[in-house]
Amino acid sequence: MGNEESVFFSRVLTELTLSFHIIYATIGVGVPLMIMIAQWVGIKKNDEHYILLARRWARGFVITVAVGVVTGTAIGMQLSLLWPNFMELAGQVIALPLFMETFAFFFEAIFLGIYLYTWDRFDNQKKHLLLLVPVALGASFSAVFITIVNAFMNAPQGFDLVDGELVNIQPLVAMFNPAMPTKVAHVVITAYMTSAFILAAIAAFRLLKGSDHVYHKKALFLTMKLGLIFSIGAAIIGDFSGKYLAEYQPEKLAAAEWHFETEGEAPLMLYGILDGQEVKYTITIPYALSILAHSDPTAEVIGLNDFPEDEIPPLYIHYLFDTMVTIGVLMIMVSGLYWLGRHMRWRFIHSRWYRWLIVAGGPLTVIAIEAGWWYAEVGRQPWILRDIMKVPEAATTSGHVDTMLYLFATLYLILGVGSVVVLRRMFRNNPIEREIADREAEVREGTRKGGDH
Amino acid sequence: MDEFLMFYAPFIVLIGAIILAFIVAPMDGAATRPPKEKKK
Ligand code: HEM
Repeated sequence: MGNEESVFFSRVLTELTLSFHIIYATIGVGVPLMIMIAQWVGIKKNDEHYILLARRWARGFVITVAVGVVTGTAIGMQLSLLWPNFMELAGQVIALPLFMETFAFFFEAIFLGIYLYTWDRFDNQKKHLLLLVPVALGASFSAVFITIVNAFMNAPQGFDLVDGELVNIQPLVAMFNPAMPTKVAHVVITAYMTSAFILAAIAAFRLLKGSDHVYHKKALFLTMKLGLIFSIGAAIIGDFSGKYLAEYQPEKLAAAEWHFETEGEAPLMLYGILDGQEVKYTITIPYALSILAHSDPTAEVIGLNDFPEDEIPPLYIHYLFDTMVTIGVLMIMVSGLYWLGRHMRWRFIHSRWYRWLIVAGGPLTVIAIEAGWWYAEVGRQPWILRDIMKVPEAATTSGHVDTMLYLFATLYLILGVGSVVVLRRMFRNNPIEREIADREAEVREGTRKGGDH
Repeated sequence: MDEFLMFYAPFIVLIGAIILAFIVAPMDGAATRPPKEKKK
């Protein structure tokens, strides 16, 4: 296998691993907060339904964490095996956040174990809820630290480059690079948003399948409300990300917006297709790119003409950006209308088509996550470490990457199918109706026993 | 202005959203309210 081929297969394998991992990682980051909120509402309102929600979500969550661990380990391994020159160059700088990510994960895993083991063992539920705080913090901080590594690749700083080596390393300066705040916040909030909409999709699906249980109605209302808050937050932070790009990675923004010439009063191009250098069928919003980039309708936005041809990212990232933003805006509308409809008692939000729309929202937000990452990563090309090292320079020269690709693809297939099968079985064998009846019986028994004393 | 939006505002929005989520989550009066009757 030639060098070009090993670069190609390294790329494909990394892309496959990250695309698969991100589904489980996103759920892993977002769901603990959802569990925490549900249990908190349950305690506050003394409502057994919310406690049960937390309990069932926690059970399913464990499966996704397990898959996340396996794929996360695969990423760690592949970083060194597929991109050895990158690790040799940047390893010392990114070691700190990488290790902190591992610690955050252990912190989460240990308390998750204790949390799951101690249901019903506390007289005071609030103490049990406290155990979830380190779980949720650990989960979110795993995302923070690993995203910091990615931010560093986009906006490296905190070292001197001497004879092709990074020296005088200041790890904290490297961690607090300019890409960090927008990336970290956008990644964490979209993980919350996606988790809320996946859980909403499950509740809507149960209602569609004939359940009329108040448990599912409460679950749907809660998750749609949380989805609304976090999707509005995601859009606002996404706007800040645009401002970051305009300042520090203008080529990524320009490529996504098919903004070929540096100019003021720049319009935003939505949708459309690119025919050679000709842009067709777009919806053009005047001044919007200048506003996105600099909060000023007349501001100058740097175009692709300011960059050498071999340093321009692929222009298809436009479609990825549009996909992400369209789904974001759609979900704000779907959840916003649902929330309003609930208060105004509108009928259509109970219709089958609207419930199907909510069900579709689950996979759609996962697609938005994928599109967001592909956009951010493909938009970094040709650099692995911006302005310092290009992707082909970083890759392994091993001749066996293709075999690794097939083996890992098989592993992900087994993990993907396996986790879905286990999750389905888990909830099928223990339907909510039965669990509620069991809990009620337990509570009755508990009161009777209490009365015997 | 852009410095503020790039460096501090993202965390303010993120933490604000988490706090807001905890505030509105218990307000579930509308969760089980039936829809309006169809007009005859
Ligand atoms: C609705 C308006 C949105 C806007 C304006 C927006 C904007 C952006 C921008 C500019 C980036 C590139 C940041 C960079 O490379 O530094 C980005 C990345 C990303 N977006 Fe969005 N986004 C929006 C919605 C969403 C939604 C709904 C999701 C997922 C549910 C999402 C997920 C992501 C992810 C995972 C990334 C990659 C991580 C990162 O670079 O921050 N975005 N977004």
